[in-house]
Amino acid sequence: MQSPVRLYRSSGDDRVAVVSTEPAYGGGGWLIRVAVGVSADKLTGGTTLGPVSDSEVEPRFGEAVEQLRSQGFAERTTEDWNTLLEHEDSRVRARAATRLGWRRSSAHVDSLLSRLASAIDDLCPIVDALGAIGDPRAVAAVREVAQRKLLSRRRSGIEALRNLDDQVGLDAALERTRGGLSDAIRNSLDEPQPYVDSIMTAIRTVEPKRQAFTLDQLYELNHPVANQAIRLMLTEMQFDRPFVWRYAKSIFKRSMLRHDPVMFGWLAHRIEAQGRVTIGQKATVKSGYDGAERDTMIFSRKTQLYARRLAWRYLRNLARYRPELYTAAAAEAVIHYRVEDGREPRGLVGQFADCYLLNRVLFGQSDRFRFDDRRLRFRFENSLSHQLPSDGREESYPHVWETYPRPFLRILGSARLSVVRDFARRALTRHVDLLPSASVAELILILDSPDEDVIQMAIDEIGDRFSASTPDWALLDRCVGDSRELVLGPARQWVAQTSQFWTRDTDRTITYLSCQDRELREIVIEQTIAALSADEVLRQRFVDQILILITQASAKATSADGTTGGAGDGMELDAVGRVARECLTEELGRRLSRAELLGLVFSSAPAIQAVAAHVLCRDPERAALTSDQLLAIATHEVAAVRAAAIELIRGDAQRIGNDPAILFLMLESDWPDARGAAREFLDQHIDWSQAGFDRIMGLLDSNRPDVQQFGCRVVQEQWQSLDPVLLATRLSEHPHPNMRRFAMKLVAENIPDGAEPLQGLQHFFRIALLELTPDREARDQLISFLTERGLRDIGQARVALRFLEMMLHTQGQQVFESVLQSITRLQVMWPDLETSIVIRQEASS
Amino acid sequence: MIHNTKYSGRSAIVNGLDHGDVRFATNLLRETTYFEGNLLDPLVFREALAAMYQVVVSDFKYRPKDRFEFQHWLERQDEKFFASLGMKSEEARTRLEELESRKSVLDDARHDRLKPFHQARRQLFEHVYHNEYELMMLLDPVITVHPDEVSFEAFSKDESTYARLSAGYDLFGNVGSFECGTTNIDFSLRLHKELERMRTYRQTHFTIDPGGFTVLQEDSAAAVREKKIDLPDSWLSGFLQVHAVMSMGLTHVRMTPVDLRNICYYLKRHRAKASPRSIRFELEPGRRGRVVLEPWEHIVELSTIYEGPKPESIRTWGRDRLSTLARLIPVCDHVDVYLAGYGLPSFYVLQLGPVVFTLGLSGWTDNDWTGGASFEQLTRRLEVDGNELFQVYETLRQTRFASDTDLATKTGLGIEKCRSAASQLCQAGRAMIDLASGVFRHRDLLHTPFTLQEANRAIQQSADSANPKAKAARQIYEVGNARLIARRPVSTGWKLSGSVKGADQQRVRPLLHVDHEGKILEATCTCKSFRDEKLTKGPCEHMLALRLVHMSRLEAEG
Repeated sequence: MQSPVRLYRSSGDDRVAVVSTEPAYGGGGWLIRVAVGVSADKLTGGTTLGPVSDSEVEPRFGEAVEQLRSQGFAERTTEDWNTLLEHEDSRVRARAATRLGWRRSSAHVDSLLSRLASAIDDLCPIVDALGAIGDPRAVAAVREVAQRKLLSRRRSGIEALRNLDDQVGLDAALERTRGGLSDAIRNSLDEPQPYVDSIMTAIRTVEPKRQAFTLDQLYELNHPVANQAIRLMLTEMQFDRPFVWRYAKSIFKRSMLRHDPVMFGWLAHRIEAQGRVTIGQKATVKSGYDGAERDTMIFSRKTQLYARRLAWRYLRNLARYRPELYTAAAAEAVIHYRVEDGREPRGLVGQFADCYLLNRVLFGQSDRFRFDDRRLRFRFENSLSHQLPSDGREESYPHVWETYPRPFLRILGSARLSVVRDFARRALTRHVDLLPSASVAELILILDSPDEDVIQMAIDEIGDRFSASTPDWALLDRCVGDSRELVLGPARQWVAQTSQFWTRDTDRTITYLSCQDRELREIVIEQTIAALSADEVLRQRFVDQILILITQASAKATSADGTTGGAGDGMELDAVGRVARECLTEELGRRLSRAELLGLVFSSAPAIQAVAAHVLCRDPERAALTSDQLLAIATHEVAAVRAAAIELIRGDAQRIGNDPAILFLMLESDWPDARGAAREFLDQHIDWSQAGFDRIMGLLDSNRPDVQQFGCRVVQEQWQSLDPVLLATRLSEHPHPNMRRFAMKLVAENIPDGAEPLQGLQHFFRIALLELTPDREARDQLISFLTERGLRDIGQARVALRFLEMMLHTQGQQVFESVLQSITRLQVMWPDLETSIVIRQEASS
Repeated sequence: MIHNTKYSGRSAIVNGLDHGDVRFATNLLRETTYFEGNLLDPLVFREALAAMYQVVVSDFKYRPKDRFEFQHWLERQDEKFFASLGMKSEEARTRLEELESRKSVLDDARHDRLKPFHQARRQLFEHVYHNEYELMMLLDPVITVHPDEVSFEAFSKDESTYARLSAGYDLFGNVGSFECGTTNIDFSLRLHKELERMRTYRQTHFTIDPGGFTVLQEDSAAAVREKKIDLPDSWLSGFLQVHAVMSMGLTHVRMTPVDLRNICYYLKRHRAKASPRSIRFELEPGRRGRVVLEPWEHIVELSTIYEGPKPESIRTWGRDRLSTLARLIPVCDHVDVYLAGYGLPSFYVLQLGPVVFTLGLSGWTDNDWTGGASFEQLTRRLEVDGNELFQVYETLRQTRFASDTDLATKTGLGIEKCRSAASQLCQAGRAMIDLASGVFRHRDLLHTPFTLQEANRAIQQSADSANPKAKAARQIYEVGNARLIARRPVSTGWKLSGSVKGADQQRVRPLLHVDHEGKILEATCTCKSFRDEKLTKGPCEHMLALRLVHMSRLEAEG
């Protein structure tokens, strides 16, 4: 492929001509484009030659160039450039300097340096150009510029020093920059391993108006972790605020000067995204250029368009002058686009019509779109244009992508839009060797892709590379941490195959134990237990690690709510806790005192509480728990803790059997397992015939239906030894509806004759008759009982009548009739009884 | 407003074989208040406290159903349907059905396998929910110890139901030392469950004490339990408004427990699918009252005769809240119902022997008590200055409870003035009205002491926050835009007819029936406000202006 040739002419209608080649559509051969126009931006005329074969392209290209030369076109000479650099218009001078910078020709360094001395408005482009050219002759002059106070000057100076590789000058300049940062930020940067969070926290301590300025200073230092913090901080900032946009723009320009594709791509997208929600704000700001205060629109629509165009101009220049950098920068520019960046599709305006860089990069060569330069909008040419072409390439600079295809991997893993990922997937079919050559970091990135086929490709590749004897830990760690079955399936196999290695590494083992997948966790637990069971030294190391975890979790649980106790988080410790319970009990028992274990049971993460309870309850003699402590553990909110206590109780049957008070208390626990265990123990070990009336009554008194049922069973078994009258009287006070029928049965069968015993049960009678959710059987039984007692003597009849008459006003037909019938029977039996009903004898006919 | 409470220990009940010990822990941040005695009728007290708990946790506000799962299910069905549409091959369709049925079997198996886990998780969530709910949401009842009774007051979670349980000293035997005052008590689901174990065959000792039951922990600081509840302003103002309504003239009707059961039982068994969902009281003097349950027009004829002066038909809404009384129906002697009017609050006073349980219901469930903040406007209140207010407060504080006549005697102020001052104290949270015994009781709902400066501030605030309708009425009256057309003396007071021009320059015709003190008994108006709201938000400015004209005419006539 031939490099494009640009020629100029000082007279005539067309002043600029460009000859370039590109692959012909449909595969095979090349097209030679000859474009002419009044300027490089307006190449309106020309022709296309070809397609020509590979062997023909060079002579035909030469012929086209020669033909243009014969028409008066020629390359620019040094004199031409000098003329432009001396032009009266500063904008012409600046553009000339910029172009020279892109060309990186050392021949023009002297011209630029001589111009620098008197440059004012064109100073920055000249310094940028000197930096881009990278000729050491410029160092002294650039160092002087880097000391300037004005933001643009300093930026150009420092970035030029960086490009010139002048470490001495750069260090001096950056030291000054560091001096301007707050102590907190400096300290966070000076940490042996700086963290993004700590840097962000330090930045937040700066006065809000100076935060963006601080970000620009930080970016000047070019610290990788700080750069990440800058992006996160900028996410929180609105660009249409004074004191923000000026520095965001500065960072954007710096990213282009130093060719930092990551920051460039992220910020280009951010600018576009912010432009969708604001048209800018008016603010009075002081110019750094002349010190005057002016009402200025911050991040106005015009500025937004300028910044967006600038981004593409940069990419275009990269493609032309630094093609090796283009694809990486273009990839970074497109991966950040999300569905949220789209708009409501309407007619020929597609969903992503306003995503300028996206369209420029992916569809720059497409004839399906029409570009609206005023709005930077790509709308479809016609209704048929909605469909992607089955063949052909639409991206800008396809030959550059073909030459430098590696960034496709970045797109594959990181792009959020399917249209972008499809672009990379298509490329993978052309570049079959791309994936096998991917680095570990790139493969890890690809695993983040939402496309299953892409993940499958990555997994296949990882599978091909996998070696059970020398596993790639970074890849394995990444797979273990995933939550998708596609990744977890092979990960389980790999984890099982490499267990002999990772079980030796306690940190990694604990990380694997904390994985989200239950099946994988089971494998890890199984392998860990197997390894620990066989190796005492390893057990000791693991115990050390667990003790550290316990300390951390306890501190976390205490600091979380300021109090001790309660379940904190720490669910990730569950598997670790299980391993500890299965095979490290003895070691932990030796290392932790009884008091420490008790403390952990009541004030730590649930998993650790379970471990502590298990260790504590494993040895009853060593534990020597008081009844209160044992009860507290047995009714603990964590099931595993309760299980440990229940195990202890089962193992200490003799002592508990002698003093079963704790079991009765456990019966009132909120937890069914604790109640079940207590019931089971009481059932098996307590001789109820010797237990006494009050203990049986204790069971019946419970509010828990399961305990009540158990109590009823015990009553039935021990019926002979109980006082039925006392039992019936006491049970009649039970408030629980479940007991109503049982109580009624006891009352009906056991309450002695007489008005007084009946009167004593009035509370029970009223509840049984008037409750809103009545036990009908019990109620009917009660009405029969009252009737039957009333028929025995008039004293009982009077008592019964009081309750029956009360129900005369009820609206339930069945109850009413039943009560009416009962009262009538009483009335008939006891004519002296005063009732509210009158019985009339029907006159005989 | 963040409501802080701090307890040393917990309220609990400890049952031995033949005795029980109920101990309520009181708020350490409030004045020291204690009481002890043996419960003579623990069953009634148990049932009353259970009803109190039901009120505290009740939330009857309408909340639309979360149909997310149903929608999700529908979407899945749609997907399946569309997938089956695209299925052209019979073989594929059969295969799909097989797979579906296999999946269903596997799903069931998985569900069975995970059942214990889901069960345990649900239990844990419930446990955590209850704990958190009690610490963050459950507002502990206010307890007041008086020389003749111990009372508990609480508001429901939805702020629409007020409950007061007053236990007279007849309920207690061997009353020991006590200190009168007002405080909060630690109340929880656990305590509610423990209270269920009170029985007559165990002598139950009842104690209100700052100590409660101290948790068995070595660290005494850890035993202190603090609750911080974000108390909405409407809660406090609603609490105060209850007593403003109680001071109004209310229509009284008596029911037997069976009557109340008939109402609740019917409502429990039927679900109204159309409006109106109200209870209509049809009352005719000398005849049994009738309660009509709408929309079914189901009539519950009361067992008692209505003894009011004139026929009434009063509708109240939010009747589901009566279900909180379920446990009290069997143990109560009779129920006194006090009705404020159409769509206005109502009170159910249940006599349980020595215990009286008062349930106050706002006009309807979604209307908290602050929604109709101008109930007090129905009653004419005399102007009271700070000194008089403070004087009444001090008298009430010393005697703890007093009727308006007693207050007038002791303060030397007129009965009307004392009544107005006491009403203002109720509004300021410094007193309450005991509807059952008809007396004012001292009760400092707020922690801060009530001084003369506080009294002046209360008067000032009352004037500043005077109801806008009252202000508008005063303006109408002062510019002479209210005219009395006719007035006629009746046995209960006066019937008035007038013409009033409001701020909108529209002339309207209010008709009033006021008693001799100027309290509005009945009213109508042709204004829009009355058409829309009736009296549910209090009287309109036109009625108030007409009453001002009437009262000034009465004064002029001497």
